[in-house]
Amino acid sequence: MTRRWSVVALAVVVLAYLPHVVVGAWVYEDAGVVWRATSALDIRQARWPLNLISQAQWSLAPAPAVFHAVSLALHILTALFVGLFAHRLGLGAAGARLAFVAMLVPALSVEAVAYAAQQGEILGAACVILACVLALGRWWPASIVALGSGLWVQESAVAGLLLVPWTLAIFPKKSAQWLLVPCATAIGFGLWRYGGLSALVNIGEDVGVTVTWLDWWLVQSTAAARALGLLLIPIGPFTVDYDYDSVPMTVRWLAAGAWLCLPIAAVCLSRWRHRRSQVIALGLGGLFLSVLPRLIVQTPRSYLNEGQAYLMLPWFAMVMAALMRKTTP
Amino acid sequence: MTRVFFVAWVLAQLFATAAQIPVWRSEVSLWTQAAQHAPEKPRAWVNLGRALLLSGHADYAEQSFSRAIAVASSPHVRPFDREDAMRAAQSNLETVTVLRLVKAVPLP
Repeated sequence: MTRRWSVVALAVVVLAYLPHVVVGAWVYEDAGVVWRATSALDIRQARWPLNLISQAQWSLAPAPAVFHAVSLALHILTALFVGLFAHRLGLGAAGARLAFVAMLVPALSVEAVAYAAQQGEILGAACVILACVLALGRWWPASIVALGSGLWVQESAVAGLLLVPWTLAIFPKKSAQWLLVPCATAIGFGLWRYGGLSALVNIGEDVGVTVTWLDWWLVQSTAAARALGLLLIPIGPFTVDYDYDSVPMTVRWLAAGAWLCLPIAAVCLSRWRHRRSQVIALGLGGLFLSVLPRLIVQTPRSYLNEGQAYLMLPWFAMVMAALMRKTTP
Repeated sequence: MTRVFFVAWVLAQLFATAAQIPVWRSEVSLWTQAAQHAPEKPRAWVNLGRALLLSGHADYAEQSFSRAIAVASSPHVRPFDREDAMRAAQSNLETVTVLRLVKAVPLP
């Protein structure tokens, strides 16, 4: 992948989003974005940095155009981080460009980029990937800052507490092994703060709004498998509200079984000393871990959607870059 | 061969991206697509009805809310989804009725 083709891919993506940035309106739960942007800043709120970011955008112009433009810029920035990650993993400049393009173009990213209310997902993913990049370098303590920033703006960044250790498990770095301590501490603190694992798992439930852990695992695995399918073959349908309730149980069991193959394949591949195999192992494990929290914490009113699957994209891009690597000079 | 596969994959993703972006331009386009792909999901019809109502298409909105009530009785719809959809659809149908009455009464 030459630099010219990476720039062409970037230009096509920017041109594709340009009309939406100009004329796209507030949709669906964007009222929450407007509320965040216009309310008084209260640092006692858990996600006040995200409110601050929304208010900064609102001060530029109280219109969706600013938010859509910032989301697009964040998506490009995340793709750059993914390219840097691929380079640091030893895929070289060509592999980095492959990973950059593979992160930039998937249609699965449209919900996160085009929908202002999902801007937090992009921010969280950017922080998690930056944390993984930093963990492999000289500035590994800064990985804690990146991870903490991600957690502060978006709860889905909690997957970073699994992804950074996973990165270090596949690509060990002796000095950075200390990062396991803050990750484990943060997980322990979170469990304590939310009243234990059972309370955390059932946090999204309410009177009359319950689901068993097995049903939840099955439906969320189906959603994750669908997201992975859309990454592979973007035939769709892409939709903001997929009807997972109408998916037959047989299909859900098959999807759950297929989804469990990812970590198994990752662990098996990680045994090989070959660099390419290890990057693929990292990617496959990353795909599984990026949505694992959502397979455990039950939110019966809301299944895994395309925007929430955004954190799967960097790991898929790693796998693609590693698989395609031999085509580059 | 793998290069051809990658180029084909990138082109397919770019086409799909370009096709999906316009769906997010407005509530009506967003929920029209959702209702098309999930016709048995009451929430999609309720949200489409709301979008149509806000954009001034009360007649189409009424049809969407009625459709939401009809599909809410499907066996695969979860009980709390059914209750939410029925409540929202009926409330919005009342809004449509009130809007029609207001329109029918001339200003003094």
